[in-house]
Amino acid sequence: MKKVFAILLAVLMLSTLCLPAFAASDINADEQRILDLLEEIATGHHGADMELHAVDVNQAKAFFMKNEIDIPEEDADAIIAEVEKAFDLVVKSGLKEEDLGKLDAEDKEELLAIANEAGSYVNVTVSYDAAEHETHFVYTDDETGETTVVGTTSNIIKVTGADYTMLFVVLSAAVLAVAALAVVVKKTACAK
Amino acid sequence: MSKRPLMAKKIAAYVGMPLLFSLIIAGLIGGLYVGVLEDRLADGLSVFFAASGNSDAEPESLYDGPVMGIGETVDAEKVTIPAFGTQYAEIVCERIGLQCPLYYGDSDSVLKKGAGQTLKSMMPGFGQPTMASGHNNREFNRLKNIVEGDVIQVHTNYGTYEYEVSGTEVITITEFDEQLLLEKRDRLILYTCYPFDTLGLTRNRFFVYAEKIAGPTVVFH
Repeated sequence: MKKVFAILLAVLMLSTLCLPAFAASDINADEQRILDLLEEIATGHHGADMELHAVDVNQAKAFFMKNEIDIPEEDADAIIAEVEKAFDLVVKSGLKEEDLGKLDAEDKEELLAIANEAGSYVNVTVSYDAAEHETHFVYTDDETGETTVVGTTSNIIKVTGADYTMLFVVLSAAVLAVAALAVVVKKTACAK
Repeated sequence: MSKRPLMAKKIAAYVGMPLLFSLIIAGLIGGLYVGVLEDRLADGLSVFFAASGNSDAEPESLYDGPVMGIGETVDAEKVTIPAFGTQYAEIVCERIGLQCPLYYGDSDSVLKKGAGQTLKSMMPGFGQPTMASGHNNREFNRLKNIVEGDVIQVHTNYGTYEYEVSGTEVITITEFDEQLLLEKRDRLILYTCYPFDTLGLTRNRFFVYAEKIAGPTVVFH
C-alpha cells in the first residue's frame, strides 16, 4: 500500500524539486489542482475503492511550499497525467488496499520507472527499501556530489526508545575479544 | 610450584574476572541509558564516516538563536525551509528543564541528536500542526514532568512561538490519528516512547498536545 502511494507521490514530488533548501513560497492554482487530485485518491473519492494516507498529501503540500519555482499549467497537466496513469495501473490490477503490496513485479517496476524517469530531470532518484518498507527520494547536487533526502514514506510514528545499537557493537567486540583471548590462552597452555 | 600462587590465579579467574566484566557491562548499560557513552562513541565513529565522504555526516544548522519582537506576521520569503536533517529551531520548556534542538526530519540518525519534526507536519507558523519526536533517554525524558498549562517555546530564526499544553495521553503507535496533522490550526505535538524509563522497545507513546498562544503567522504574497 505504502509502496504504491509512495510512487504516486513521487511522480509529483520529483517534478517540483530542484534544491534541498528554499525560501517558503505559496501554492499556486496549478499546484493546488495536483494536491486536490491526491486528496481525492487518498480519501477514496477518485472512482475507486482505494484509501491512502491522507497525511502523505500533507507532505506533498510541504514540498510545494518549499519550492520557489511555480509549476506552470502545462507542467501541472503533465504531472496530473502521470499520477492518473500510475493510479489506473494500480486500479487495473484489481487488488484491494490490503493487497496492493502484492502487485506483480512487472507493475511495480513500471511504477518505479515512471517516478525515476521524472526524477532524472531534477537529479532525484527514487529507491525502495524492502527491509524497511519505505521509499526514499534523494537529491544529488551536480556540483558538489552531495546528496540529501528530500522525502520519505516511513512510518509517521518513530521508535523513540533507548537506542542500543552502540551497546550491541561494543558488546559484540568485547565477546569476540574474550573468545580470542580464550583461544590464545588455551593454545599457550597446550604448548606448555 | 607452591599452592599459594595457584590459589590466587583461581580466585582471579573465578571471582575477579567475572566481577570485572560485570562492572564493565553495568557501566556500558548505564552509560548508554543516560545517552552519554553513546554520544561519545557516535562522535568517535563519525570521524570515520566523515572521512569516507558520507554527506549525511553532519548537517549544517540554520538556527542562530532566539529572535524576539517579530510581530504578528512574517513574510514567507524570510523563512528558509531547511534541508532534511538540519537543525532549524530549539524547543524550550523552562518549568521542566527541557531544552532541545529541533531538526527538520525524524530519521534515526536525526533523533540521536535531538528532536525531529516529521516532514508530514508543518513548521511553526504555517497554519497546521508541527509534530516532533525525541528519544525518551535524552531530552524528551523530561516530558514525564509536563502538565496541562505548561508553556513550551519553539525558537526559530523567523520568530519565537509559544504553545500552552492542553493535554497529554499515552496511546499505542496504531492509535495515533493522522487526521490531526491535517487540521488547519497551528499547534505543537510532541511524543516519545513510554514508559519513560523503559529499557526495551515499546509500542506505547506519550503524546503532548499544545495550542499556539503566540508567534508570527507566515504569510504569502
